[in-house]
Amino acid sequence: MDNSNELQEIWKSVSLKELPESREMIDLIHNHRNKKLKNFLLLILSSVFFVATMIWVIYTSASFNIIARIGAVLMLISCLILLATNFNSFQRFYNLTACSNKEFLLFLQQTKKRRLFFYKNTQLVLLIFCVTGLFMFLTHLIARNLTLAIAVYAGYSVYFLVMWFYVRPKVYKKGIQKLSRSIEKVERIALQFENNNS
Amino acid sequence: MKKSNFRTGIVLLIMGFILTSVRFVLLEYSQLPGFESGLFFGAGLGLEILGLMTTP
Repeated sequence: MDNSNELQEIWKSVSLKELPESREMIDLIHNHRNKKLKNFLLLILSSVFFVATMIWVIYTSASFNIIARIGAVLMLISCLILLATNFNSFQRFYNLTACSNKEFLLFLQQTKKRRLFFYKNTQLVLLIFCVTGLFMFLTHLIARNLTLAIAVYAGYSVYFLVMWFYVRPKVYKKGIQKLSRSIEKVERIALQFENNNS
Repeated sequence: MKKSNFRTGIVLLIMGFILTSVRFVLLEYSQLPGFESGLFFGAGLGLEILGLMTTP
């Protein structure tokens, strides 16, 4: 118990000078928000560009069979899922205006939960549509050039397996570690402010 | 000149360059066999990478 009291005393005696000021915290939140908004906007624009290209190709060419066209529709669905998810996140970050440390902490914790949900559910659905769509689209190659079709299928399968089993978990882990560090930092600041104010 | 205006100018310039390049490629190579399939496949891969590498 003595140790605990001593620790509390030490904790409370730490100078507030080392902590960021409220203005700095607001700037930190503001910068974080703006950076994320820019990323979401770029992602939304890129998705729209890709899907517009696909629609343009399908509508201007009469040479694709029905399976390839169904594949294109599946790709379109995957794009809509990606757009909806990112538009939702864009709105979430857009509504993040001046808030307290605790509110920002809650926001970051919710972001972490959303990422886990995206990784385990949304991303799976999105990629199932996307990969099935691409596989179906490539069927038109079989009739044209079998060797080319086999080469493309093999290359794409290897690429997809590497992305799925290596890149995807790595990207998620890296993002979550970064977010956890931010949460820890804001948590520490909020707690110290609270202790020094009490 | 403001820094933000300068940035916007650069972004617009790059976008113009990209759009001109895309138009040039479309006009020059659209007659090649397999061009459309390649374009669709490329766009599909791009979309897939966006879905894989980004987190909400």
